[in-house]
Amino acid sequence: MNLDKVRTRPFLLLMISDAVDNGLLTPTQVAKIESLLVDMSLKIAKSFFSPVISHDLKKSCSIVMGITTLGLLKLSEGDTLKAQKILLEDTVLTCFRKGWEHVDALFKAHGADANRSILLTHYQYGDSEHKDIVSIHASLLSMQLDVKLLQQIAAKFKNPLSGIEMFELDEATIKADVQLSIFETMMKRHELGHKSYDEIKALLLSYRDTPDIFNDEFSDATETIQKQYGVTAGLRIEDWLPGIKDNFHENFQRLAFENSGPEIYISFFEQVLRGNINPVHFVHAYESLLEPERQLYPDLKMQIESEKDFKDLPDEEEADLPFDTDLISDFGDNTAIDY
Amino acid sequence: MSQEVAVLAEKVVAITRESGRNGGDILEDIASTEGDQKMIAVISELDIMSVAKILRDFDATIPSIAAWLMDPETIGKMLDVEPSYWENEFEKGAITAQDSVKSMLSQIFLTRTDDDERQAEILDAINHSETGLLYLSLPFIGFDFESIDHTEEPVSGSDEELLVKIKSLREPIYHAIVDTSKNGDLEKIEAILKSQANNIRVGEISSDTDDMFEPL
Repeated sequence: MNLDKVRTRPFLLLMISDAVDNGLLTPTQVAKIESLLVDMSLKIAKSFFSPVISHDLKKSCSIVMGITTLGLLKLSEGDTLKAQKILLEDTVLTCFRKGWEHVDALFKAHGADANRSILLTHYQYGDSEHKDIVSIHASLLSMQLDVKLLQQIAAKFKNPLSGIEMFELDEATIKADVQLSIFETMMKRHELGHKSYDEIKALLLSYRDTPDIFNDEFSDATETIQKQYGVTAGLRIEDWLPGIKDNFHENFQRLAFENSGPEIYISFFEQVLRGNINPVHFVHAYESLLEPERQLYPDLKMQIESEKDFKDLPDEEEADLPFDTDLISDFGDNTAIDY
Repeated sequence: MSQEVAVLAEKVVAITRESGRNGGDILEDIASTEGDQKMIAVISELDIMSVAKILRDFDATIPSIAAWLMDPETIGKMLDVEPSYWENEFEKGAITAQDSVKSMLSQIFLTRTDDDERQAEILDAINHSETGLLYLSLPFIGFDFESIDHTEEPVSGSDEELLVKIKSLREPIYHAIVDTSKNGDLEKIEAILKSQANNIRVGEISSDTDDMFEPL
Protein backbone atom coordinates (compact mmCIF):
# COMPACT_ATOMS: atom_id res chain seq x y z
CA MET A 1 0.00 0.00 0.00
CA ASN A 2 1.37 3.40 -0.96
CA LEU A 3 1.14 6.25 1.46
CA ASP A 4 -0.11 8.77 -1.09
CA LYS A 5 -3.02 6.46 -1.81
CA VAL A 6 -3.82 6.19 1.86
CA ARG A 7 -4.29 9.89 2.18
CA THR A 8 -6.90 10.28 -0.52
CA ARG A 9 -9.00 7.13 -0.62
CA PRO A 10 -11.56 5.46 1.61
CA PHE A 11 -10.32 2.46 3.55
CA LEU A 12 -12.77 0.21 1.70
CA LEU A 13 -11.34 1.10 -1.72
CA LEU A 14 -7.78 0.77 -0.42
CA MET A 15 -8.47 -2.73 0.83
CA ILE A 16 -10.09 -3.73 -2.44
CA SER A 17 -7.31 -2.36 -4.63
CA ASP A 18 -4.66 -3.98 -2.41
CA ALA A 19 -6.42 -7.32 -2.72
CA VAL A 20 -6.54 -6.89 -6.48
CA ASP A 21 -2.83 -5.96 -6.63
CA ASN A 22 -1.98 -9.05 -4.61
CA GLY A 23 -4.05 -11.23 -6.88
CA LEU A 24 -6.46 -12.14 -4.09
CA LEU A 25 -9.54 -10.83 -5.87
CA THR A 26 -10.35 -11.89 -9.41
CA PRO A 27 -11.95 -9.46 -11.88
CA THR A 28 -15.20 -11.44 -11.53
CA GLN A 29 -15.19 -10.94 -7.78
CA VAL A 30 -14.46 -7.24 -8.16
CA ALA A 31 -17.32 -6.96 -10.63
CA LYS A 32 -19.58 -8.64 -8.07
CA ILE A 33 -18.53 -6.19 -5.36
CA GLU A 34 -19.11 -3.32 -7.73
CA SER A 35 -22.56 -4.42 -8.71
CA LEU A 36 -23.48 -4.96 -5.08
CA LEU A 37 -22.35 -1.41 -4.23
CA VAL A 38 -24.38 -0.07 -7.15
CA ASP A 39 -27.47 -1.96 -6.03
CA MET A 40 -27.08 -0.72 -2.48
CA SER A 41 -26.75 2.85 -3.75
CA LEU A 42 -29.88 2.51 -5.83
CA LYS A 43 -31.70 1.17 -2.83
CA ILE A 44 -30.58 4.13 -0.72
CA ALA A 45 -31.66 6.53 -3.48
CA LYS A 46 -35.01 4.78 -3.77
CA SER A 47 -35.67 4.73 -0.05
CA PHE A 48 -34.40 8.15 1.00
CA PHE A 49 -33.96 10.37 -2.05
CA SER A 50 -34.97 10.18 -5.67
CA PRO A 51 -33.46 7.75 -8.17
CA VAL A 52 -34.09 10.10 -11.09
CA ILE A 53 -32.08 13.11 -9.94
CA SER A 54 -28.44 12.70 -10.79
CA HIS A 55 -27.08 14.48 -7.73
CA ASP A 56 -29.30 12.31 -5.51
CA LEU A 57 -27.76 9.25 -7.13
CA LYS A 58 -24.27 10.59 -6.56
CA LYS A 59 -25.17 11.37 -2.96
CA SER A 60 -26.48 7.83 -2.47
CA CYS A 61 -23.26 6.35 -3.85
CA SER A 62 -21.16 8.41 -1.44
CA ILE A 63 -23.41 7.45 1.46
CA VAL A 64 -22.96 3.76 0.65
CA MET A 65 -19.22 4.36 0.44
CA GLY A 66 -19.25 6.09 3.82
CA ILE A 67 -21.37 3.57 5.66
CA THR A 68 -19.63 0.54 4.15
CA THR A 69 -16.23 2.00 5.02
CA LEU A 70 -17.45 2.75 8.54
CA GLY A 71 -18.64 -0.85 8.85
CA LEU A 72 -15.39 -2.32 7.52
CA LEU A 73 -13.36 -0.17 9.91
CA LYS A 74 -15.52 -1.24 12.83
CA LEU A 75 -15.40 -4.93 11.89
CA SER A 76 -11.64 -4.96 11.31
CA GLU A 77 -10.77 -2.37 13.96
CA GLY A 78 -8.57 -0.77 11.31
CA ASP A 79 -6.41 -3.89 10.96
CA THR A 80 -5.62 -4.33 7.26
CA LEU A 81 -5.16 -8.08 7.45
CA LYS A 82 -8.46 -8.54 9.21
CA ALA A 83 -10.14 -6.21 6.72
CA GLN A 84 -8.79 -8.20 3.79
CA LYS A 85 -10.03 -11.42 5.33
CA ILE A 86 -13.50 -9.92 5.76
CA LEU A 87 -13.59 -8.78 2.14
CA LEU A 88 -12.50 -12.19 0.87
CA GLU A 89 -14.68 -14.33 3.10
CA ASP A 90 -17.69 -12.09 3.49
CA THR A 91 -19.34 -9.44 1.32
CA VAL A 92 -19.42 -5.66 1.27
CA LEU A 93 -23.05 -6.03 2.26
CA THR A 94 -21.93 -7.35 5.65
CA CYS A 95 -19.74 -4.27 6.01
CA PHE A 96 -22.63 -2.03 5.10
CA ARG A 97 -24.87 -3.71 7.63
CA LYS A 98 -22.25 -3.24 10.33
CA GLY A 99 -22.08 0.44 9.39
CA TRP A 100 -25.84 0.64 9.31
CA GLU A 101 -25.96 -0.68 12.86
CA HIS A 102 -24.12 2.47 13.93
CA VAL A 103 -26.17 4.76 11.70
CA ASP A 104 -29.25 3.20 13.22
CA ALA A 105 -28.01 4.18 16.67
CA LEU A 106 -27.85 7.79 15.46
CA PHE A 107 -31.38 7.51 14.05
CA LYS A 108 -32.60 6.23 17.40
CA ALA A 109 -30.85 9.04 19.26
CA HIS A 110 -32.67 11.55 17.06
CA GLY A 111 -36.05 9.92 17.62
CA ALA A 112 -38.74 8.76 15.23
CA ASP A 113 -39.57 12.20 13.83
CA ALA A 114 -36.07 13.04 12.67
CA ASN A 115 -35.40 13.46 8.97
CA ARG A 116 -33.33 10.41 8.18
CA SER A 117 -32.36 11.52 4.68
CA ILE A 118 -30.69 14.58 6.14
CA LEU A 119 -28.91 12.53 8.80
CA LEU A 120 -27.64 10.14 6.13
CA THR A 121 -25.98 12.94 4.17
CA HIS A 122 -23.42 13.26 7.00
CA TYR A 123 -22.00 9.90 5.94
CA GLN A 124 -21.12 10.91 2.38
CA TYR A 125 -17.63 9.81 1.46
CA GLY A 126 -16.26 10.49 -2.02
CA ASP A 127 -13.91 7.96 -3.59
CA SER A 128 -10.96 10.35 -3.77
CA GLU A 129 -10.99 12.15 -0.45
CA HIS A 130 -9.81 11.51 3.03
CA LYS A 131 -12.20 11.47 5.94
CA ASP A 132 -12.06 9.97 9.38
CA ILE A 133 -15.50 8.48 9.06
CA VAL A 134 -15.27 6.70 12.42
CA SER A 135 -14.69 9.94 14.33
CA ILE A 136 -17.29 11.76 12.27
CA HIS A 137 -19.82 9.14 13.25
CA ALA A 138 -18.69 9.17 16.88
CA SER A 139 -19.04 12.93 17.19
CA LEU A 140 -22.44 12.97 15.44
CA LEU A 141 -23.68 10.41 17.91
CA SER A 142 -22.19 11.94 21.03
CA MET A 143 -23.43 15.40 20.05
CA GLN A 144 -26.97 14.13 19.68
CA LEU A 145 -26.83 12.13 22.90
CA ASP A 146 -25.66 15.28 24.67
CA VAL A 147 -28.53 17.29 23.20
CA LYS A 148 -30.91 14.65 24.48
CA LEU A 149 -29.32 14.69 27.93
CA LEU A 150 -29.52 18.49 28.06
CA GLN A 151 -33.19 18.32 27.10
CA GLN A 152 -33.78 15.87 29.93
CA ILE A 153 -31.90 18.10 32.36
CA ALA A 154 -33.90 21.12 31.19
CA ALA A 155 -37.15 19.24 31.73
CA LYS A 156 -36.09 18.15 35.19
CA PHE A 157 -35.03 21.64 36.26
CA LYS A 158 -37.95 23.45 34.71
CA ASN A 159 -39.09 26.08 37.17
CA PRO A 160 -42.13 28.39 37.01
CA LEU A 161 -40.00 31.33 38.20
CA SER A 162 -38.04 31.17 34.98
CA GLY A 163 -39.63 33.01 32.09
CA ILE A 164 -37.94 31.01 29.37
CA GLU A 165 -39.95 28.75 27.07
CA MET A 166 -38.78 25.20 26.47
CA PHE A 167 -38.17 25.78 22.78
CA GLU A 168 -35.75 28.64 23.44
CA LEU A 169 -33.38 26.48 25.44
CA ASP A 170 -29.66 26.89 25.29
CA GLU A 171 -26.99 25.66 27.63
CA ALA A 172 -26.65 28.99 29.48
CA THR A 173 -30.37 29.07 30.18
CA ILE A 174 -30.44 25.51 31.47
CA LYS A 175 -27.47 26.42 33.63
CA ALA A 176 -29.47 29.33 35.06
CA ASP A 177 -32.33 26.98 35.90
CA VAL A 178 -29.91 24.67 37.67
CA GLN A 179 -28.53 27.63 39.60
CA LEU A 180 -32.05 28.56 40.65
CA SER A 181 -32.70 25.04 41.77
CA ILE A 182 -29.52 25.05 43.87
CA PHE A 183 -30.58 28.25 45.59
CA GLU A 184 -34.07 26.92 46.27
CA THR A 185 -32.49 23.87 47.89
CA MET A 186 -30.51 26.20 50.13
CA MET A 187 -33.65 28.17 50.97
CA LYS A 188 -35.41 24.97 51.89
CA ARG A 189 -32.58 24.05 54.20
CA HIS A 190 -33.17 27.32 56.06
CA GLU A 191 -36.93 26.83 55.84
CA LEU A 192 -37.45 29.96 53.81
CA GLY A 193 -40.39 30.50 51.48
CA HIS A 194 -40.52 32.79 48.45
CA LYS A 195 -42.24 35.52 50.46
CA SER A 196 -39.74 35.67 53.35
CA TYR A 197 -38.00 38.67 51.81
CA ASP A 198 -36.21 39.90 54.89
CA GLU A 199 -34.99 36.46 55.88
CA ILE A 200 -33.72 35.88 52.35
CA LYS A 201 -31.94 39.21 52.55
CA ALA A 202 -30.32 38.22 55.83
CA LEU A 203 -29.29 34.86 54.41
CA LEU A 204 -27.77 36.43 51.30
CA LEU A 205 -25.85 38.97 53.32
CA SER A 206 -24.52 36.27 55.63
CA TYR A 207 -23.43 34.27 52.59
CA ARG A 208 -21.66 37.34 51.30
CA ASP A 209 -19.83 37.96 54.55
CA THR A 210 -18.94 34.35 55.27
CA PRO A 211 -18.03 32.71 51.97
CA ASP A 212 -16.86 29.53 53.69
CA ILE A 213 -20.27 28.84 55.10
CA PHE A 214 -21.79 29.48 51.70
CA ASN A 215 -19.29 27.16 50.02
CA ASP A 216 -20.13 24.34 52.41
CA GLU A 217 -23.85 24.78 51.99
CA PHE A 218 -23.40 25.03 48.23
CA SER A 219 -21.62 21.68 48.19
CA ASP A 220 -24.36 20.10 50.29
CA ALA A 221 -27.08 21.49 48.04
CA THR A 222 -25.43 20.39 44.82
CA GLU A 223 -24.81 16.95 46.27
CA THR A 224 -28.50 16.64 47.13
CA ILE A 225 -29.48 17.74 43.63
CA GLN A 226 -27.01 15.46 41.88
CA LYS A 227 -28.30 12.50 43.87
CA GLN A 228 -31.88 13.44 43.19
CA TYR A 229 -31.49 13.66 39.40
CA GLY A 230 -29.44 10.57 38.68
CA VAL A 231 -25.87 9.84 37.73
CA THR A 232 -25.76 10.96 34.06
CA ALA A 233 -27.52 14.26 34.65
CA GLY A 234 -25.41 14.76 37.79
CA LEU A 235 -22.17 14.24 35.87
CA ARG A 236 -23.25 16.49 33.04
CA ILE A 237 -23.96 19.44 35.35
CA GLU A 238 -20.81 18.90 37.40
CA ASP A 239 -18.72 21.02 35.04
CA TRP A 240 -21.14 23.90 35.49
CA LEU A 241 -20.89 23.99 39.27
CA PRO A 242 -17.67 26.03 39.69
CA GLY A 243 -19.04 28.64 37.30
CA ILE A 244 -22.35 28.70 39.13
CA LYS A 245 -20.57 29.09 42.45
CA ASP A 246 -18.55 32.06 41.16
CA ASN A 247 -21.72 33.53 39.84
CA PHE A 248 -23.32 33.38 43.27
CA HIS A 249 -20.34 35.10 44.87
CA GLU A 250 -20.49 37.85 42.28
CA ASN A 251 -24.19 38.35 42.83
CA PHE A 252 -23.69 38.57 46.60
CA GLN A 253 -21.24 41.44 46.08
CA ARG A 254 -23.81 43.34 44.06
CA LEU A 255 -26.24 43.16 47.00
CA ALA A 256 -24.35 46.01 48.67
CA PHE A 257 -26.21 48.41 46.39
CA GLU A 258 -29.69 47.24 47.33
CA ASN A 259 -31.85 48.10 50.31
CA SER A 260 -35.08 46.43 51.32
CA GLY A 261 -35.91 42.72 51.34
CA PRO A 262 -38.28 42.65 48.33
CA GLU A 263 -35.87 44.70 46.29
CA ILE A 264 -33.02 42.35 47.02
CA TYR A 265 -35.28 39.41 46.35
CA ILE A 266 -36.24 40.68 42.89
CA SER A 267 -32.80 41.70 41.79
CA PHE A 268 -31.18 38.57 43.12
CA PHE A 269 -33.50 36.29 41.20
CA GLU A 270 -33.18 38.46 38.15
CA GLN A 271 -29.42 37.97 38.31
CA VAL A 272 -29.67 34.25 38.89
CA LEU A 273 -32.00 33.80 35.91
CA ARG A 274 -30.05 36.16 33.65
CA GLY A 275 -32.98 38.55 33.40
CA ASN A 276 -35.45 35.91 32.34
CA ILE A 277 -37.74 35.93 35.35
CA ASN A 278 -41.38 35.13 34.88
CA PRO A 279 -43.09 38.37 35.97
CA VAL A 280 -46.29 36.59 37.01
CA HIS A 281 -44.44 35.01 39.92
CA PHE A 282 -42.89 38.28 41.08
CA VAL A 283 -46.03 40.38 41.38
CA HIS A 284 -46.15 39.81 45.13
CA ALA A 285 -42.58 41.00 45.58
CA TYR A 286 -43.15 44.06 43.45
CA GLU A 287 -46.30 44.92 45.37
CA SER A 288 -44.51 44.80 48.69
CA LEU A 289 -41.84 47.23 47.56
CA LEU A 290 -41.96 50.71 49.02
CA GLU A 291 -43.16 53.44 46.68
CA PRO A 292 -39.74 55.02 45.92
CA GLU A 293 -38.22 51.64 45.27
CA ARG A 294 -40.92 50.79 42.77
CA GLN A 295 -39.62 53.62 40.66
CA LEU A 296 -36.37 51.71 40.37
CA TYR A 297 -38.12 48.85 38.60
CA PRO A 298 -40.21 50.51 35.91
CA ASP A 299 -39.32 47.79 33.42
CA LEU A 300 -40.54 45.05 35.65
CA LYS A 301 -43.68 47.00 36.44
CA MET A 302 -44.44 47.50 32.77
CA GLN A 303 -43.88 43.84 32.14
CA ILE A 304 -46.23 42.86 34.96
CA GLU A 305 -48.92 45.26 33.80
CA SER A 306 -48.79 44.16 30.22
CA GLU A 307 -49.06 40.52 31.31
CA LYS A 308 -52.09 41.45 33.40
CA ASP A 309 -53.73 43.44 30.62
CA PHE A 310 -53.23 40.63 28.21
CA LYS A 311 -54.85 38.16 30.59
CA ASP A 312 -57.87 40.41 31.18
CA LEU A 313 -58.62 40.80 27.50
CA PRO A 314 -61.74 38.97 26.36
CA ASP A 315 -61.04 36.49 23.57
CA GLU A 316 -62.51 38.43 20.69
CA GLU A 317 -60.63 41.60 21.55
CA GLU A 318 -57.40 39.71 21.76
CA ALA A 319 -57.39 39.15 18.04
CA ASP A 320 -58.03 42.82 17.45
CA LEU A 321 -55.57 44.63 19.65
CA PRO A 322 -56.01 48.40 19.95
CA PHE A 323 -54.87 50.01 16.76
CA ASP A 324 -55.14 53.66 16.02
CA THR A 325 -57.19 53.81 12.86
CA ASP A 326 -57.45 57.60 13.08
CA LEU A 327 -53.78 57.78 12.31
CA ILE A 328 -54.44 56.35 8.88
CA SER A 329 -57.27 58.76 8.05
CA ASP A 330 -55.14 61.69 9.18
CA PHE A 331 -52.42 60.49 6.93
CA GLY A 332 -54.91 60.25 4.08
CA ASP A 333 -55.98 63.87 4.58
CA ASN A 334 -52.46 65.14 4.48
CA THR A 335 -51.56 63.40 1.28
CA ALA A 336 -54.66 64.53 -0.64
CA ILE A 337 -53.55 66.85 -3.41
CA ASP A 338 -55.36 70.17 -3.29
CA TYR A 339 -55.55 71.89 -6.65
CA MET B 1 -37.64 4.42 -37.24
CA SER B 2 -35.87 6.81 -39.50
CA GLN B 3 -32.38 7.98 -38.80
CA GLU B 4 -33.64 11.52 -38.46
CA VAL B 5 -36.16 10.70 -35.74
CA ALA B 6 -33.51 8.86 -33.76
CA VAL B 7 -31.19 11.83 -33.96
CA LEU B 8 -33.94 14.22 -32.92
CA ALA B 9 -34.96 12.00 -30.02
CA GLU B 10 -31.40 11.83 -28.78
CA LYS B 11 -31.16 15.60 -28.93
CA VAL B 12 -34.42 16.02 -27.00
CA VAL B 13 -33.27 13.58 -24.30
CA ALA B 14 -29.97 15.44 -23.93
CA ILE B 15 -31.68 18.80 -23.61
CA THR B 16 -34.31 17.42 -21.24
CA ARG B 17 -31.60 16.18 -18.92
CA GLU B 18 -30.69 19.84 -18.36
CA SER B 19 -34.19 21.29 -18.36
CA GLY B 20 -37.60 19.77 -18.93
CA ARG B 21 -38.93 23.09 -20.12
CA ASN B 22 -36.30 23.36 -22.89
CA GLY B 23 -37.04 19.77 -23.91
CA GLY B 24 -40.71 20.70 -24.33
CA ASP B 25 -39.82 23.77 -26.35
CA ILE B 26 -37.73 21.72 -28.75
CA LEU B 27 -40.63 19.32 -29.23
CA GLU B 28 -42.91 22.22 -30.04
CA ASP B 29 -40.35 23.49 -32.54
CA ILE B 30 -40.30 20.11 -34.23
CA ALA B 31 -44.09 20.08 -34.41
CA SER B 32 -44.29 23.54 -35.93
CA THR B 33 -41.53 23.06 -38.48
CA GLU B 34 -41.92 19.39 -39.39
CA GLY B 35 -45.46 18.52 -38.40
CA ASP B 36 -47.22 16.75 -35.55
CA GLN B 37 -46.57 13.31 -36.99
CA LYS B 38 -42.82 13.81 -36.79
CA MET B 39 -43.10 15.03 -33.21
CA ILE B 40 -45.19 12.04 -32.17
CA ALA B 41 -42.59 9.79 -33.76
CA VAL B 42 -39.90 11.53 -31.71
CA ILE B 43 -41.92 11.26 -28.48
CA SER B 44 -42.41 7.57 -28.97
CA GLU B 45 -38.63 7.21 -29.03
CA LEU B 46 -38.13 9.06 -25.75
CA ASP B 47 -37.79 7.18 -22.50
CA ILE B 48 -40.70 7.59 -20.15
CA MET B 49 -38.70 9.50 -17.53
CA SER B 50 -37.80 12.20 -20.03
CA VAL B 51 -41.43 12.55 -21.06
CA ALA B 52 -42.43 12.88 -17.41
CA LYS B 53 -39.76 15.48 -16.83
CA ILE B 54 -40.90 17.51 -19.82
CA LEU B 55 -44.55 17.41 -18.82
CA ARG B 56 -44.04 18.27 -15.19
CA ASP B 57 -42.33 21.48 -16.18
CA PHE B 58 -45.49 22.70 -17.84
CA ASP B 59 -48.87 23.37 -16.31
CA ALA B 60 -52.36 24.12 -17.53
CA THR B 61 -51.49 27.70 -18.33
CA ILE B 62 -48.65 26.71 -20.67
CA PRO B 63 -49.64 23.25 -21.80
CA SER B 64 -47.00 21.18 -23.46
CA ILE B 65 -47.95 20.13 -26.92
CA ALA B 66 -46.60 16.73 -25.98
CA ALA B 67 -49.49 16.20 -23.58
CA TRP B 68 -51.99 16.74 -26.37
CA LEU B 69 -50.51 14.29 -28.77
CA MET B 70 -49.33 11.40 -26.62
CA ASP B 71 -51.39 8.24 -26.64
CA PRO B 72 -53.37 7.40 -23.47
CA GLU B 73 -51.22 4.41 -22.51
CA THR B 74 -48.05 6.48 -22.62
CA ILE B 75 -49.65 9.12 -20.42
CA GLY B 76 -50.76 6.45 -17.94
CA LYS B 77 -47.23 5.05 -17.77
CA MET B 78 -45.72 8.47 -17.49
CA LEU B 79 -47.86 9.38 -14.51
CA ASP B 80 -46.73 6.17 -12.82
CA VAL B 81 -43.14 7.39 -12.78
CA GLU B 82 -43.77 11.10 -12.26
CA PRO B 83 -43.69 10.89 -8.41
CA SER B 84 -39.97 10.07 -8.64
CA TYR B 85 -39.40 13.77 -9.22
CA TRP B 86 -41.22 14.93 -6.10
CA GLU B 87 -38.41 14.52 -3.61
CA ASN B 88 -36.27 17.08 -5.41
CA GLU B 89 -39.11 19.60 -5.44
CA PHE B 90 -39.75 19.11 -1.73
CA GLU B 91 -36.12 19.83 -1.01
CA LYS B 92 -36.45 23.15 -2.74
CA GLY B 93 -39.65 23.65 -0.78
CA ALA B 94 -41.27 24.99 -3.93
CA ILE B 95 -44.12 22.61 -4.44
CA THR B 96 -46.10 19.86 -2.74
CA ALA B 97 -47.03 16.50 -4.21
CA GLN B 98 -50.63 17.66 -4.36
CA ASP B 99 -49.70 20.72 -6.43
CA SER B 100 -47.59 18.64 -8.75
CA VAL B 101 -50.35 16.12 -9.46
CA LYS B 102 -52.94 18.86 -9.80
CA SER B 103 -50.85 20.63 -12.39
CA MET B 104 -50.29 17.40 -14.34
CA LEU B 105 -53.98 16.53 -14.35
CA SER B 106 -55.05 20.07 -15.30
CA GLN B 107 -52.65 20.00 -18.18
CA ILE B 108 -54.11 16.75 -19.44
CA PHE B 109 -57.79 17.32 -18.79
CA LEU B 110 -58.42 21.04 -18.83
CA THR B 111 -56.40 22.43 -21.71
CA ARG B 112 -58.43 20.85 -24.50
CA THR B 113 -62.18 21.01 -24.42
CA ASP B 114 -62.92 19.54 -27.82
CA ASP B 115 -61.83 15.96 -27.37
CA ASP B 116 -63.79 14.27 -24.59
CA GLU B 117 -63.44 10.82 -26.05
CA ARG B 118 -59.63 10.93 -25.95
CA GLN B 119 -59.64 12.35 -22.46
CA ALA B 120 -61.98 9.60 -21.27
CA GLU B 121 -59.53 7.07 -22.71
CA ILE B 122 -56.66 8.75 -20.87
CA LEU B 123 -58.65 8.63 -17.64
CA ASP B 124 -59.27 4.91 -18.19
CA ALA B 125 -55.60 4.33 -18.88
CA ILE B 126 -54.57 6.11 -15.68
CA ASN B 127 -57.20 4.32 -13.64
CA HIS B 128 -56.03 1.04 -15.14
CA SER B 129 -52.55 1.16 -13.62
CA GLU B 130 -52.00 -0.25 -10.17
CA THR B 131 -51.69 3.07 -8.35
CA GLY B 132 -53.62 5.18 -10.85
CA LEU B 133 -56.61 5.74 -8.59
CA LEU B 134 -54.33 6.87 -5.76
CA TYR B 135 -52.64 9.30 -8.14
CA LEU B 136 -55.99 10.71 -9.26
CA SER B 137 -57.20 11.06 -5.67
CA LEU B 138 -54.09 12.62 -4.15
CA PRO B 139 -54.90 16.26 -5.04
CA PHE B 140 -58.34 16.01 -3.50
CA ILE B 141 -57.45 14.72 -0.05
CA GLY B 142 -58.81 17.31 2.35
CA PHE B 143 -61.11 18.76 -0.33
CA ASP B 144 -64.65 19.55 0.77
CA PHE B 145 -66.76 17.65 -1.76
CA GLU B 146 -70.01 19.01 -0.29
CA SER B 147 -68.97 22.47 -1.40
CA ILE B 148 -69.26 21.66 -5.12
CA ASP B 149 -72.08 23.67 -6.62
CA HIS B 150 -73.27 21.73 -9.64
CA THR B 151 -75.56 24.46 -10.84
CA GLU B 152 -72.81 26.99 -11.33
CA GLU B 153 -69.91 27.06 -13.75
CA PRO B 154 -66.75 26.22 -11.72
CA VAL B 155 -63.93 28.75 -11.49
CA SER B 156 -61.39 28.14 -14.22
CA GLY B 157 -58.33 26.28 -12.98
CA SER B 158 -59.91 25.32 -9.65
CA ASP B 159 -59.95 21.87 -8.07
CA GLU B 160 -63.67 21.94 -8.63
CA GLU B 161 -63.31 22.38 -12.38
CA LEU B 162 -61.02 19.37 -12.53
CA LEU B 163 -63.44 17.24 -10.52
CA VAL B 164 -66.46 18.28 -12.55
CA LYS B 165 -64.54 17.46 -15.71
CA ILE B 166 -63.59 14.00 -14.44
CA LYS B 167 -67.18 13.39 -13.40
CA SER B 168 -68.44 14.30 -16.84
CA LEU B 169 -65.93 11.94 -18.46
CA ARG B 170 -66.34 8.87 -16.26
CA GLU B 171 -68.76 9.06 -13.35
CA PRO B 172 -67.70 5.75 -11.67
CA ILE B 173 -64.06 6.90 -11.57
CA TYR B 174 -65.21 10.17 -10.04
CA HIS B 175 -67.00 8.31 -7.23
CA ALA B 176 -63.97 6.13 -6.63
CA ILE B 177 -61.86 9.29 -6.35
CA VAL B 178 -64.28 10.80 -3.83
CA ASP B 179 -64.19 7.65 -1.69
CA THR B 180 -60.41 7.33 -1.83
CA SER B 181 -59.69 10.93 -1.02
CA LYS B 182 -62.16 10.97 1.87
CA ASN B 183 -60.62 7.89 3.48
CA GLY B 184 -57.04 8.30 2.34
CA ASP B 185 -54.09 9.49 4.35
CA LEU B 186 -52.05 12.03 2.42
CA GLU B 187 -48.65 10.98 3.71
CA LYS B 188 -49.29 7.30 3.13
CA ILE B 189 -50.59 7.73 -0.39
CA GLU B 190 -47.70 10.01 -1.23
CA ALA B 191 -45.26 7.41 0.07
CA ILE B 192 -46.93 4.60 -1.88
CA LEU B 193 -46.88 6.59 -5.14
CA LYS B 194 -43.28 7.60 -4.65
CA SER B 195 -42.02 4.15 -3.85
CA GLN B 196 -44.00 2.65 -6.73
CA ALA B 197 -42.51 5.21 -9.12
CA ASN B 198 -39.02 4.62 -7.75
CA ASN B 199 -39.45 0.88 -8.13
CA ILE B 200 -40.45 1.21 -11.77
CA ARG B 201 -37.53 3.53 -12.34
CA VAL B 202 -34.91 1.43 -10.63
CA GLY B 203 -36.24 -1.95 -11.67
CA GLU B 204 -35.19 -5.16 -9.98
CA ILE B 205 -32.39 -4.90 -7.48
CA SER B 206 -30.39 -8.01 -6.74
CA SER B 207 -31.93 -10.08 -3.98
CA ASP B 208 -28.59 -9.97 -2.11
CA THR B 209 -29.50 -6.52 -0.84
CA ASP B 210 -32.80 -7.59 0.74
CA ASP B 211 -31.47 -7.37 4.27
CA MET B 212 -29.18 -4.39 3.79
CA PHE B 213 -31.06 -2.26 6.33
CA GLU B 214 -30.88 -4.97 8.98
CA PRO B 215 -28.23 -3.90 11.47
CA LEU B 216 -25.61 -6.61 11.82
